[in-house]
Amino acid sequence: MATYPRTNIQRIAAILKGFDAANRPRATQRVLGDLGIARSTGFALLRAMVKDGWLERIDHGHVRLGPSARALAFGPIEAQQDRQGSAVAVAVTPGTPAGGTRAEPKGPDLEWDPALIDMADTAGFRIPPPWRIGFSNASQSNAWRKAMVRSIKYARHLRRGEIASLDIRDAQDDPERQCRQIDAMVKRGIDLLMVSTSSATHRRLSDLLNALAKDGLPVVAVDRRPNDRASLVSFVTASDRRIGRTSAVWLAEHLKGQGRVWLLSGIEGTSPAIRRQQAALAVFSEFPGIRIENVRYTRWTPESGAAVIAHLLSEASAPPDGVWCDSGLQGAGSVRHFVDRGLKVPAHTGGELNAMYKLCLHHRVPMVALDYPASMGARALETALNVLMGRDVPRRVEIPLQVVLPRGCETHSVKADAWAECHVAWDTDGDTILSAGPALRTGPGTSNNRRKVPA
Amino acid sequence: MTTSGATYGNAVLLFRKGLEAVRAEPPKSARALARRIGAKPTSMQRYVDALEVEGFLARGNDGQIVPGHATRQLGLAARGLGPLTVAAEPILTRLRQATGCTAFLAEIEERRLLIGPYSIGRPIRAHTIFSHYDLDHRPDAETVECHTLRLAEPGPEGRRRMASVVALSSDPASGQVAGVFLPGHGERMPAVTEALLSARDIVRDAIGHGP
Repeated sequence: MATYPRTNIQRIAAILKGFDAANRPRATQRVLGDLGIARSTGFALLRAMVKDGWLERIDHGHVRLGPSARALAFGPIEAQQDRQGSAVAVAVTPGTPAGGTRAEPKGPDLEWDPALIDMADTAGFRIPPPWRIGFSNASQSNAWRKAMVRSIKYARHLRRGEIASLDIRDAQDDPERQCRQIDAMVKRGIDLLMVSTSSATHRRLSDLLNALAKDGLPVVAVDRRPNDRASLVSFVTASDRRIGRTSAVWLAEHLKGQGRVWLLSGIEGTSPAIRRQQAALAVFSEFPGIRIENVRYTRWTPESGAAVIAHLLSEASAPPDGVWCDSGLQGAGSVRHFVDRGLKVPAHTGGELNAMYKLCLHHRVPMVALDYPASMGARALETALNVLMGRDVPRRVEIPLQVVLPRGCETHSVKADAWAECHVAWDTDGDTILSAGPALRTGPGTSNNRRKVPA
Repeated sequence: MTTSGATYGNAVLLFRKGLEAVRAEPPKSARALARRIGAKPTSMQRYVDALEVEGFLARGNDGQIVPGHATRQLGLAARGLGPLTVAAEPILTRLRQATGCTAFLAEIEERRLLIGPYSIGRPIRAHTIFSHYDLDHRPDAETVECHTLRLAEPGPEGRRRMASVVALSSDPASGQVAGVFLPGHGERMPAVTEALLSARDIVRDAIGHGP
């Protein structure tokens, strides 16, 4: 059964969104047909929209988007704001040339992935709401993953009228368990599967997703995907390569191209860990003076970061000059361990976790962070709903990343999009993930908490 | 106007005033937005809820209400730049990252540069980005391929700025360009030009205007 917008504001939004990307004129009869209201009232609404410039008449009985809609193109694509809501004034400081020699300086690289504009035709997946959605989550073993789930729940809360059920399963980083959970969800009945895979290379999991896709179940991946992306309608993520590359460039330049570096990656075999590490190693290879002494894996938790660093320090003759972490989830544990041992804390990389910012700023540890956005959970659910509505979606949806640096820590190539001093939330728990979007708030929505998201 | 006509007129007016207020300065809550535009808080809550679902509004980390991605998409579609809707965000983000400068999509219309979506780069302090700038002259179709423009901010006291642009369509007469505001000195020009040309190739490939 078709669902129609019920309020005038919803009807206005529906009319405006009914035009295609080329703004081709639409017959008023068809526009009104989408609204499910009487012709007389519908025409009155269209007349009001034409009068206000949202629509313009083109031909007899045809309208298209008008000048008021055209004005909406003007605007920033990301809000650069500090925590008080005012615009960040990012100082322009002259770059300091890297002291170390870089093997071969390269021109600007747009790091383009054609999947960003490759659209998936989803007409075949269109079914009327309410929808049943399953989310097979790789794990909830760290603060970021919990924040991502909260982000999904926030989006579900907004779209609760269209979602009959959202079944979230925690695979506890076990691909076999994830296969069983997906089987169970499919058996119970779902219209779309969202998945964050616990392994990029696990054959049975990949085969299972391919089989489900072949059977006509739309699959949307978020954060982590299998290496074989043939099963996916869309993949919602952020650029892991940019995280790995930018943080490595910063560390190498901060060390002036000379020094011993330890690498702490996340969970071995997961797609973000693989791509960030590959990108970082490629950068470090351009600096002959940088020596990679250790490459270790953690569980993306402060405890595992501290344990790995403790182990490495017990084996090493001296602390390193820099610790490259692909996330602050383990980075915070590493910094904390150096502090607790009374050692000078080397330069670190890795964001996300509020504790990482608090520690580095408090102890004046040079750091760079690119927060992997937990808000991608909400974007993934939105993409999933677009699939079920039969709207074309990009094969890859990428959430922008910001470079966050403490003042005075910029290097020749890496400049701040935001200052860590403005980004940190001193009055919030260390476990807080700062990139969770609106789900970050305890009472999302309004001051009276009327839209509190269920835990 | 009939009663229903007035009702719809009011709804359209509320739609406009709410979006304009949010675009001018993100309010911290629906209640604050209601105060600013003189609407009932309960109506404004329903308004914000409805437009957040549709993507016209979004929430920042601290709950402030900001324009959503559907707003930009609608604007691009209305300007006939709809095929760029999907590419705009990743392209502009990458252009900004590669150059460090504020990157934008725009249209050259007669002797005006009409700015569309933009990504804020670093050398923006003390600058406001305007929705349009006056040009000394409309660039020739041939030279807009990659061109440095002198821009005048609107108003009699408007300052001069420089921007480098490339034509997005293989038909430069279409006036659709990608560009960056130049930081005021020429040392980054080679990198800016290289990044712009890369972006142009990507866009042309995306919208089917490739060679």
